[in-house]
Amino acid sequence: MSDQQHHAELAPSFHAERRNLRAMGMWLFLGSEVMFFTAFFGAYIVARSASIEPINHPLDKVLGALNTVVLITSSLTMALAVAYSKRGDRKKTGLALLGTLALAAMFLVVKGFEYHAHFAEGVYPSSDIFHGFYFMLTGFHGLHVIGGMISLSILWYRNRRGDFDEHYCDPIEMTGLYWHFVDLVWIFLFPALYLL
Amino acid sequence: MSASSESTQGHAAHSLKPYAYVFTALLVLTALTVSLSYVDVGAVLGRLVGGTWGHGANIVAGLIVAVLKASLVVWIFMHQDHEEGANRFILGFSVALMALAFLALSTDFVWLGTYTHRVAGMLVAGN
Repeated sequence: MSDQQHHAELAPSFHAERRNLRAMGMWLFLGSEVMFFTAFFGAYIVARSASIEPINHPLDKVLGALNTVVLITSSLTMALAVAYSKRGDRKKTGLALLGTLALAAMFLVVKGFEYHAHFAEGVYPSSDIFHGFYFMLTGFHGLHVIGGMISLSILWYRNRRGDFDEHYCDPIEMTGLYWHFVDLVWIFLFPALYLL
Repeated sequence: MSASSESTQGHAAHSLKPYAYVFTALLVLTALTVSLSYVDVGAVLGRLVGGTWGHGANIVAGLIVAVLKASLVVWIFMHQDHEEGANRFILGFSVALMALAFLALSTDFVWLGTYTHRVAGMLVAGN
């Protein structure tokens, strides 16, 4: 019996229970992620309020805003991927996952140009307090984006292979929760580093 | 599809319109927060309601917009509007712990801030 037939034969309440338990695991993981970034944001707040050197906002607001729009759009395509997978629409799910992947890659390319510009100007994490925090916060966020891209690639392949249908698409939904969290972190990082 | 699984999963093929609305709202709020960074919010507030506000007004305004954006993402994209009670509790508890951590830190950074800026002032004054 194929996985798909197996899933279809199970009672709907079983699918709901399994999904809710997986969501709980994901929310607990995201809770620990919240604390991870709380530590860095907290240190940044202390450094900013105690710093004698004024912060002259050396970052390019336009590139920061562009990347914000890119990540927000990727959150939309991710939400669509989850919605299409719950409808059992494999083709649209695949397209939405590919779109999310492409936007994630675009975010990293823009970030890469920014990093390159900093290094070209001789600005490194050790240059001053602000850049130490800037590289640490955006660096850890970038690692989260890369992690998300790995998950999205696996999901795209599994979706194409036919692992998911309207009864079973938990991995897409849980990766969606993670991806929206990566967007959430950037929603706070962008004003904290580029604007305020 | 039974009613019970629909209530917790939102499994039904519901409309995609809310996503479009949230996406538009997020773009508008991003434009707003970028625009606010070119305005001295403290000076505007001073003219409107009086008093001196300083750069803190910009920081508070920027954070309010960020919290609004985050709420939209959590509520609609992450489906907290129909998530299980236990999963809502985990999120609420994490956010409360984060707030507590920042509150505890404030005893340090409020004091450090006034202290280092006083020292800096003295250095500039040549004392």
